[in-house]
Amino acid sequence: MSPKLQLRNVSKTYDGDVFAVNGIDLEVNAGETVALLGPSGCGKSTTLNMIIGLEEPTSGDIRIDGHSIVGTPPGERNVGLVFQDYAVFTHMSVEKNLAFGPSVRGLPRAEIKRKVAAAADLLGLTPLLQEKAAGLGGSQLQRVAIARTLVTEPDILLLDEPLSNLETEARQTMRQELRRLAKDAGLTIIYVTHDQIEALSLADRVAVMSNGKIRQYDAVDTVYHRPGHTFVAGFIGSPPMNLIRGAIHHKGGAPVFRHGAVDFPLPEGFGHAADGTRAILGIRPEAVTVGPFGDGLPADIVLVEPRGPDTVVTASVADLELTALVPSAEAPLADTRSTLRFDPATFSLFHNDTGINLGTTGGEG
Amino acid sequence: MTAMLALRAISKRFGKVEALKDVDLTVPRGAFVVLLGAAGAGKTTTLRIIAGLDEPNQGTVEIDGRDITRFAAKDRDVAMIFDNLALYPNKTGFQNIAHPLKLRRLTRAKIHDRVQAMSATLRIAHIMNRLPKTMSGGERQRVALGRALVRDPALFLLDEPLSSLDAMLRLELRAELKRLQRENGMSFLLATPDFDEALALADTIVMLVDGQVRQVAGPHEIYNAPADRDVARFVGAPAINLTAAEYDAGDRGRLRLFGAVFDAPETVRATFGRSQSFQAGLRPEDIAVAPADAGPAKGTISDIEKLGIRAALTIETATDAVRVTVPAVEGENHSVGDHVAVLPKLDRVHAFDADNGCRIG
Amino acid sequence: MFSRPLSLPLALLLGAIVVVTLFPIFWIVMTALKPPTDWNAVPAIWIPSDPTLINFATLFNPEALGVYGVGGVSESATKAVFGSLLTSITATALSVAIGLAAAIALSRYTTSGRATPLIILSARMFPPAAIAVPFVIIFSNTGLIDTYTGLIAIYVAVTLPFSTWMLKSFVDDVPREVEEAAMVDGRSRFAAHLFVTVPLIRGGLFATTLFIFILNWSEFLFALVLSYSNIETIPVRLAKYVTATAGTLYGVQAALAVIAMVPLVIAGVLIQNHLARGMTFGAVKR
Repeated sequence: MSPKLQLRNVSKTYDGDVFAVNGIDLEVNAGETVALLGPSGCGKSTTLNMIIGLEEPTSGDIRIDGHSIVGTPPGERNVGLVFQDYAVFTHMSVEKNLAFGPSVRGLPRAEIKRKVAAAADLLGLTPLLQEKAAGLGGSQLQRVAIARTLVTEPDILLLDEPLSNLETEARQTMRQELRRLAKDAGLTIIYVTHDQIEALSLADRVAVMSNGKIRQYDAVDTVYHRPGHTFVAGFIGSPPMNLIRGAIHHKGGAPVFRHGAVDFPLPEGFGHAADGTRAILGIRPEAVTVGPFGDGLPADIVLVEPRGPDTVVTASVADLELTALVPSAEAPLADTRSTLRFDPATFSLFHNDTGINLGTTGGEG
Repeated sequence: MTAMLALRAISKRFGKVEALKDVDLTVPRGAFVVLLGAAGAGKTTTLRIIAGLDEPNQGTVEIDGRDITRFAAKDRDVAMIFDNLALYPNKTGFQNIAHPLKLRRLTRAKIHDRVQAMSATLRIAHIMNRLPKTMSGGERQRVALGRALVRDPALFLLDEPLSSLDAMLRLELRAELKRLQRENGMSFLLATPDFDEALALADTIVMLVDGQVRQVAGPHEIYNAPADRDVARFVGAPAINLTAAEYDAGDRGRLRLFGAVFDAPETVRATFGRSQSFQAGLRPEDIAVAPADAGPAKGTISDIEKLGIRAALTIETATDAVRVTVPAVEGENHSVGDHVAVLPKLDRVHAFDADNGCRIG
Repeated sequence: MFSRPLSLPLALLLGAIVVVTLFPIFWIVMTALKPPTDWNAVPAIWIPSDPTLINFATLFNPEALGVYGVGGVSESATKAVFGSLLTSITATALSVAIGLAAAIALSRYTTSGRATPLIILSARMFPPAAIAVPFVIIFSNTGLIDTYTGLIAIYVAVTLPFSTWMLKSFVDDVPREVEEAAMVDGRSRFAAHLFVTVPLIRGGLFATTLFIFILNWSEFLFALVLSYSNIETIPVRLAKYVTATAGTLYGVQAALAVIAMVPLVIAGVLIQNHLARGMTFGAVKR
């Protein structure tokens, strides 16, 4: 069976040489939830526009259920988009908003009614059907916007930064609701977002984009724990991974990663690289512990930022600034001296030039 | 530390709407104070009153002990960064930053030097000749920052300066803001609806709800000892669990919570003394999940949310939907539909008055 | 988007629109260059075989047409050209200046009474004919009738709602915070209006000025009923080229009309670069 959505070597250039999207491949299976994650300007919005049909790719192919949709007008692609600013008709009742799409398509009255009722039920809007949309709050508007798209029964539902206009508390509720929706309705969903929490919490798989390229497309846990590229490592995680340039050396038979005069012992798996191989070491902040350890790496505590349950500590070691995420109860004071310890089992090593994860082989090239 | 800015009993009405009620606020010299509150809580109004863009109906504004309530904006020696930046669209980056200096009649050479130095600090030297419309969001943000910082005013007011930026850029600029403030000993008052930003940046947080100051405290205290229910709910994600609870003083003290009865720990006994009902607040990280036979409060996992380092579980008990955060690794051991026991860390219970929501004890 | 070559049907359509639009101007200019014998010749003469400037000469020397045996033109048009320039320029300057002040006030200071601008605009809902007669009476009693001062006052009063309304929409486009930023930077409130907002709406200011100038320049009714012999404007003068012996002097009218077009064309060319809006884009983050 062919995947629900397939992008094959899709590129989009402007003015001939500016690549907005540069040869991306993406497959989304039926019933799967995928997030396109990246900073602004990474190409995710262009990708979204090409899937909907607002823009056409310069090269490459886009397929739904195995059929190319390049050149098909947006209205005939059966792809639903929920806009970032909802685009709900505020002067109409919720019911009229939901009925808008199907009535434009000239469906019979009874069918419209049935579809509207089903979508309203799915999103908990049934008690609000007669309300004017103008009087609704942010998360209710969001639900109306989603329901309005769902009544058209799209093959794929795309959501563009769906939660960015909501306040913290409403975001949490909405995320929960969206997960339930994905499960209950069995929809194929694509989120476009710059917010990693949104991507991690909503999606099955995440495609991390930068500079028009997909840097990694993997399951949520893999993207977080085994970033495939330095960009992913520096983008995901809050705070993101510490990335340190240096070289792999063998010190008395055990591999170490050396930056200047600082040595980070590496686990055995990294021992195959030739002595002196240059690389980038990635250390998750939560793999760093701070405290007065006898054998720890001496460091100056520069900045201490509480976050509630944990605290972000910025420590300087030689010319490096390392961040650590520690339980608030164990946080040191700013402007003091302390020591750091690391959990080498969670280290990642990246290629010095390409930034690609070397895996545990240590990498030869 | 001396109070650099002091607001005393400020009230402000717009028509019938009371935007601020009796607001007292101080910013010590060299301190980073964050005004935290939801949209419409009165943050922007407070900043505008300090800047001299709005006049309070009551109360006084003092800078360095001098009453400036009736001073015009230009005579106040404060700089402000607006939530929409408000750059001069017809001026280049350089001219935007130079504008306040030009008004102070500095020599051309001096203006040039200071703008140059500022653009180097903010790493925007390359966009000094461009108009705002050709800059990226982050670059505009830095130009606005530069325009405020170049003057060396007594006080900086920042109105949600990072709110519309990308998550990544926001973290980067946040750290930079804190560094600039610390290294130069500047006095900052920053308004934000983002508690995370407030906790990370502030020496002192002023929590504003419906135009009233509800709590003034350091980041640690505001998280661990919120003054009332609203503050507790606003600070922390996932939000604190709030549930009806009962303390029974008999039989060495018992606590009814999540439809189960627990032995009350010493801290709770000391707080209450006599039997009463109250509202209990428990942070998601202060509840543990255990096999169903491990405790009296049982429930079913209805939702699992991955948050990177942690996972948040929603557990439906007889009385509540309880949110619990666990390390990501532990989250992988659970799945939706599992029957589990919730184990609240009872010495971490926040007690609020069931009626007015104020903290008890 | 204009770099692409036009398709043939589109080019033809645009060409047709240009022809239709420019035809009256072509006709007026040609008529101005025709001798009296060609004015209403049948069939129509499109391009004068023997172009002459006699019509223009007649405007300033009433006897000039005598060589064609046409007489009865009593007065030179010099006074009308002077009158039109004086009233239109003065009234436009006053209207735009007062309108700008009003626009800033309405845009920046009105916290209640959102209807105020509408009420101002509604002053223009009255047909001029309905208010002309009362003005004749008032002006007769106050000695303002048949004076440039009186006519200018009327023109300012009549165009002020337009200038206010137009300028307010431009001022509204400039975010209030940009002015406030200038105040925090060290400008007074008034200086912020003048040195921050006004330069930003320059294009709108030019557009409004041109629009008001056209209104004043082509105004006929008030100029007619409020003038006797001391003052005159071009539109009024135009109506006076009717003689008992030779009928309407089409060529002379056309010549005056050509002269009347000159300042508008010059103004249009001078400010066309400023007419584009969009200067404020990039001021605020969106």
